Amino acid sequence: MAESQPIISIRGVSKRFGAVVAVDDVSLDIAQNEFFALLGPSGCGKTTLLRMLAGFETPSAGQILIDGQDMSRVPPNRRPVNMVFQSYAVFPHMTVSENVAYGLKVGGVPRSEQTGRVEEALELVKLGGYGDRKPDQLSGGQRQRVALARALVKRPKVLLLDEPLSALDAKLREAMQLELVNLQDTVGITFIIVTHDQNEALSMANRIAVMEDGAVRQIDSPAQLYEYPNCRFVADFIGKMNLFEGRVSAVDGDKLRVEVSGIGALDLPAPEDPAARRSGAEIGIAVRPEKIRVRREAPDKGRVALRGKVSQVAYYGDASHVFLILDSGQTISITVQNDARDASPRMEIGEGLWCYWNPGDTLVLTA
Amino acid sequence: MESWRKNPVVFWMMNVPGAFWLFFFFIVPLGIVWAISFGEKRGVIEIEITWTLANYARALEPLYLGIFWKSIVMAGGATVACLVTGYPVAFAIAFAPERWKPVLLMAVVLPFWINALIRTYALIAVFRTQGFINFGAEWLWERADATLTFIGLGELHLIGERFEPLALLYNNTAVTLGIVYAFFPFMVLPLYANIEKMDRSYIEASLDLGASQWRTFVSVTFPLTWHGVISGIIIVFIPALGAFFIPDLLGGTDNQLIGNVIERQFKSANDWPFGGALSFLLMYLTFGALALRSLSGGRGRGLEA
Amino acid sequence: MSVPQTRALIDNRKAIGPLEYTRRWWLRLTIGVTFVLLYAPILALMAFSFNDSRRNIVWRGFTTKYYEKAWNNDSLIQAFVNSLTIAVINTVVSTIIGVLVAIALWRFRFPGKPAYEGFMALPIVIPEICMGVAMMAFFARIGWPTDLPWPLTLANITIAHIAFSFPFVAVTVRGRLVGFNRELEDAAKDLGATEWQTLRDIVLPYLKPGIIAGALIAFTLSLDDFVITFFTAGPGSITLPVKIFSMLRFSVTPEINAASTVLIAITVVATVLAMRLQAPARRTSAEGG
Repeated sequence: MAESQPIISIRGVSKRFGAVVAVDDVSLDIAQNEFFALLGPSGCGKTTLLRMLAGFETPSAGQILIDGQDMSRVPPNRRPVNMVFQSYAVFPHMTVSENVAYGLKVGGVPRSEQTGRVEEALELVKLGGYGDRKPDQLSGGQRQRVALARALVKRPKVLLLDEPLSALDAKLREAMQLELVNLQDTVGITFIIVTHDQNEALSMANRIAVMEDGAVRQIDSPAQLYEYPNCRFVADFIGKMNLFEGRVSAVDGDKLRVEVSGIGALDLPAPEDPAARRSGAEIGIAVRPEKIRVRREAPDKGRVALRGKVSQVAYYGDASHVFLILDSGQTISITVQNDARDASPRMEIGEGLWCYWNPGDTLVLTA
Repeated sequence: MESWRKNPVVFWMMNVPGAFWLFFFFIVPLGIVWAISFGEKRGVIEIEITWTLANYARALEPLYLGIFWKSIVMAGGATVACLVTGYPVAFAIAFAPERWKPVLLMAVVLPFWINALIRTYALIAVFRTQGFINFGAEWLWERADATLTFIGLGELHLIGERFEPLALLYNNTAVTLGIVYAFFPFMVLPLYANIEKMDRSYIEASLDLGASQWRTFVSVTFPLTWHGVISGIIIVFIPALGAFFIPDLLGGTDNQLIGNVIERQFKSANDWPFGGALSFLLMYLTFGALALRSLSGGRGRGLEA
Repeated sequence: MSVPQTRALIDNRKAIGPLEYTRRWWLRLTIGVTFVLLYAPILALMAFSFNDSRRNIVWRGFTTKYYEKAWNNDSLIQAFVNSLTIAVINTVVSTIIGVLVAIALWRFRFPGKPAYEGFMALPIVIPEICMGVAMMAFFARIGWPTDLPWPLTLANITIAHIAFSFPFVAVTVRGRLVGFNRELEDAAKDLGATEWQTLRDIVLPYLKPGIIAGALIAFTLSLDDFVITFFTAGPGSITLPVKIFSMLRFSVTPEINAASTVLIAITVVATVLAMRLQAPARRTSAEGG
């Protein structure tokens, strides 16, 4: 199947507020029907970028194309995108139906057609029959659905969502995550969400752009981002990791020998990045806590193995976080799954343990 | 907030009426008075603006300085009285049960809606020689006199031969009380707004740490509501400075305040240049008070009174 | 009752919590006394408008003859009509100007804005007498014609009233705007509404309680104004407060009480009406999304 053109094309877009650079030369393409996420800490520019897509900010430099059309002169009320705002922004003085119909009303859609489409949209978000209620009679989650219906009824090409789940409580959040993914599938349009919560992004999106200080650090699928981060920031922001500094002491084909301070020499598979394949290169070595196992006896050969003493154990019910102090004084954290009720005997503080992982699970970070 | 350049048509359309009215029917009139204050009378109506400072010089003579001073003192006294009586009321309403608050507030604010002139007039009926207070005092005197006669001490005229009515009107006290009566709601409202917003946890923390109620009030509550106090003081002091019908109705010839003097210049004495000078000096006093307020930490905000 | 029983009764009375200040007797006494002192003169004035006695405070009998006298007093009625006319015109114009100013200041950034806002606040802050004499000097200086037919004679007073009323309206509406969720505006535009549609469909409905409050303030300020009107009124354009003042100068008769009571009644009714009108709107938007 031929690749259709991207629905959104951001080319070299920057945004400055006085001396502050909120968005720094961002270029990315978003395909049709994608569920795309802009992920990053607060202040990284993701919301500014979203607002530029919606038309509420104008770029200081660069171009935004939606479905091939340049949007520089198009105001927000004439763009083929619609947004669900962080506070939902459901009009308090109108009923649910009036809210959902508003976009159709100002768009000149005839009354007769409005009714049908409003009902359809409400059914889509599972609020059929709620048309006559007022927003103050609805819960937060229900108001969000009204905002969704209101945006979707206009059949935009792209739906933008600004921190859609941040105001919901934990249980509702998880349920909504799944619902949004299903909704996108049903409606068949591109969704772009902005979030600071990596769990949201990982569970919902097809592709994620991780941003820091106005720039995009990596764009990839969730699994790629998690297992193959291209820099320390991404590795640290998504998921947890144990980070050590090291230097490449020898390169042998597709293997590296890395001297890690306080630990010794580790033999790891060489990553793609040529910067890491030089002898003498300073690199970061990281491993995620769930990839590490603990044992009282020494592990088999072929693993990266370290010995340490238990300094703390935090019990979370489904897992425990175990902290070992290595001989060098560094701390390593390990996530141990609680996979059987009467599992192996509890770990004591001060007990000596081995921890080990597969060399292939090591992250090699050059940036 | 967007820059006006984004939508200049809308911007001008919205701003022109207000700006026009403000300029032509407020700034310009003030400007005219300012110019007149540097003028001299040349006839019954004619005023020539010679940029003389004679009017200001005259305004700063001891006679008028004394009146300015008296106005400041009296307005200040009335303001303090309002604060002392108003703070407990505002405090009580702020801590009242939720459903009583609107009722109590309405009850305090309602007199404010009623014409100040009428309220001052109502006070006359209370204070004058044949007014309510004297009526009540006379009644008490007669009872006391009857009792004394009854127990045989009537001949001694211990409390005087006849009832002497209290001269409550036409003195400084009457004017001050009149000002307090007129502006009391003005003090309560900003105080209430401020006390209401205060986080109750501060009081609870202070009590928890062992302070008495009074100590808590002095060290915690009052300082935290300081901005409200300042607002209230300003809202009462400034109009009180310029009061003129209150001293006119309740005061005697000795109790002229600066407002009365200004009124006379423009009405009976027909000395507009002098009146203009006095008027502007009063305004500078007002600005001085506002500046003091900004300095004391309450940020001077334009339209957010 | 035995001592233990009495003690039990006293102890069982609900203890006053440390922060329940309003339940303490001395505070209740203070409030009570304050309210009595606040209302007594006014209530007395109103009561004695029905007193069948020319000057005394001794009650001699109920009568409405002073109301009849007031009703038949042509100049008093004329003054009353003048007051109402000015108040109504002032309310309409001030509200419109005030709302525009409030929205413009809330929405736009422009050079010199802080100074502009400061000037806007001046009519609120300045002593009334300064403004009164300024208006008097202004109309004299520009040669305002003094022989206009009614109702144009009221024009200069009305102009002055609008000048000091609209900043109050602006402040009131601005206060309401502070709580406005700007995302509501963005949402409307995102859905396709133009500037005008957004203003009409989203902003103004939200502002309604504030606009009503502001209009009410403008009405009462105008109706009750004495100082500024005193300086701008001419012989053909007396308002009720000014008329009452001149009557006071002459002698204190219950007729003044009657006229005052009528004015008080109108003010109170208007205030209560506005509170009622505001309350439902306030309920929905306070609990709203």
